[in-house]
Amino acid sequence: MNEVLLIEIDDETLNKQLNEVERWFEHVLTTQLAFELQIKQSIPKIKEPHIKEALERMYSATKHHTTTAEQLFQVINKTADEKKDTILAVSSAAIEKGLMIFQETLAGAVGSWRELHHLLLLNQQALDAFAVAEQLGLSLGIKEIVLLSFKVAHDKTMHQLLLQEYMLEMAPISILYKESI
Amino acid sequence: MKISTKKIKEQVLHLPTSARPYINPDDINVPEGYKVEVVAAGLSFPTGMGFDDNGSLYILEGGSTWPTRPALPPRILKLDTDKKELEVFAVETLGGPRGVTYKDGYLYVSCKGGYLARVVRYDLKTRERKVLIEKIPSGGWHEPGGPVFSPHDGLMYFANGSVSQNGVCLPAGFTVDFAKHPEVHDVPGVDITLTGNNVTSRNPLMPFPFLTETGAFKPFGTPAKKGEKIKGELWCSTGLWRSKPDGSDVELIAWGLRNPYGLAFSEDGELYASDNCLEEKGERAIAGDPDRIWHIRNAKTSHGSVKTPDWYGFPEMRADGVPVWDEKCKPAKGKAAEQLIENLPKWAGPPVYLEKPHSAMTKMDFCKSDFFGHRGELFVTEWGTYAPLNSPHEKDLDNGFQIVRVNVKNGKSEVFLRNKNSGPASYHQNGGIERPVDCKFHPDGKSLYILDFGHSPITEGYIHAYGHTGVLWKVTKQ
Repeated sequence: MNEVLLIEIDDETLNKQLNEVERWFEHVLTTQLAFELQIKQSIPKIKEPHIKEALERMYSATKHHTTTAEQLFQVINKTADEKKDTILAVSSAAIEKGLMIFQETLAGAVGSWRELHHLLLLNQQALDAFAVAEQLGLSLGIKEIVLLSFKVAHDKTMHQLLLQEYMLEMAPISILYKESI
Repeated sequence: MKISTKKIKEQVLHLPTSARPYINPDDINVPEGYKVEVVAAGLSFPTGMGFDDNGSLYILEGGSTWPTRPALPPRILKLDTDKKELEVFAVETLGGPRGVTYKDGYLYVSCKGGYLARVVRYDLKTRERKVLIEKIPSGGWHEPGGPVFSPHDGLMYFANGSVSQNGVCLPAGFTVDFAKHPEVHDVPGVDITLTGNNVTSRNPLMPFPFLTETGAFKPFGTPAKKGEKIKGELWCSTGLWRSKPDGSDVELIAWGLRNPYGLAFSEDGELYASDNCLEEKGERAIAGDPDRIWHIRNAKTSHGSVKTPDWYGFPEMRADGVPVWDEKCKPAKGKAAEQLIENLPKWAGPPVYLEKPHSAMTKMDFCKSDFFGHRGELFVTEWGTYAPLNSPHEKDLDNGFQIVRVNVKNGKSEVFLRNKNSGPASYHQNGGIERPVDCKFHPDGKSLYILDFGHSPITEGYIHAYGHTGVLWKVTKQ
């Protein structure tokens, strides 16, 4: 019988690459949990009703995205359970650290507008993490990774547009008038 | 760079790549007396291949679809077809190698990626790399063709497709290469005068949807003026050139070739180029343009004698000779085209062969073997359509995904290889061929190798391309 050559899809090569993928998925979960924590904390601070409503809808979608981040591990026969607590702690610390930096660099802006600015950056990080996961799925020929991460990256792209619009719209009031919005 | 391989003795493959989990030659139809088998699986975005005189096969990896991601290593692999041993011969830079040919101890490779397309040469013994050609305007949609060597004059022939998709740089390009090279534009091969007809579109570089105007042979957002003269350049887009094997004494012999990915010489020294149709979408949409095989007549002229390169129609003519602003070209989706060039050059058509639109004819090879059969016929790979993205017509959904053999003398063809169910294997979850991108005859004349790019699914909203789903097939005459 004719011999067939398998190129970089033998068990040893694949397992090695999947270990690298698992590390990236940990990053996906970290950025996603950081965003989920931040949006949860931000919603009560937002006083503008239409922005609050938009963020509540975004939070609902975000919880599904976190579930998706955990499902990514299952696709490669790994589990996120053992790592989630550690990742959660890392995410919380990252948010605290990030907020401090923002407070120093936002030109004296006050109020909950700073929350929008922070969410914008955190959403971008999580968006990028899922988009890279999609590229890894494409590279390895694993469509389940692609289907999961593509949908989240698409959602987050729309969320990014929304966050940017509200952030820019409300910036002058926060910076020039110092109103708490 | 090392490469991990494993040999198995199975013909029906069950693979860990869920995008292409199953490969089975029995799902493919070939004429009686021929046998299909799998040589290798797991290639990542293979784009082309070529044999040396000893039967070693050089396979190019690291291609892409649209958008041009994910990037995987742009490798040149060397396969000993007897021992089934594979090594990485070289790794290219700036993206992807696209075409390869062997001559007199050297490997010649055309490369895309970056703003300028290139032709490089490798010494097979020392693996020393030398850039021979590096001035081809690229950085846009379409692909390099060749290089190939003429049995008639021993010269090197190579080509490169258009920067724009349908003659004008438009917003869709920003999902591909324009984001990296926003200043790119097509360049004519002869002096032309513009009509001043511009294409109106949104501007993806601006935050608000004010419209912008773009002219032919201009960067996106730059309008043309009526009567404006554009100088023809040696290094144009849509060109086909020849040079000495060391890259010197370059001569432009043809232009107006939209996507001349496949070049092949017949045994009697005639050059043919495959080319893909204009698309029925976007702000300059053109309906009904067939895929085609062109005869490049100037290839038989003496080196240095071409005063005016032949014009093959891009961006103004369908391959059936209909101007794109004609009523017959009005699109079902997108905005109709207007004339861009006032002084149209003489058309070098008609093609020797017309194929269904969006079949995406890619690389090809003439059969030079009596044993294999069909000697003198041109075997052409058809990558397959991207409908519904590039065509609104249901009849286009299965076009391509096959190998045809074309009689270039009478313009007739027969399907040589196709899945038992039409379309790519993934349409039917079977184990057949996905997207054939190249075919080359082994020097022994007994078999035809077929390179299958792999799984690249399409919807109205996106294109994906999966790594490690490429397959090398072999068809042997029994």
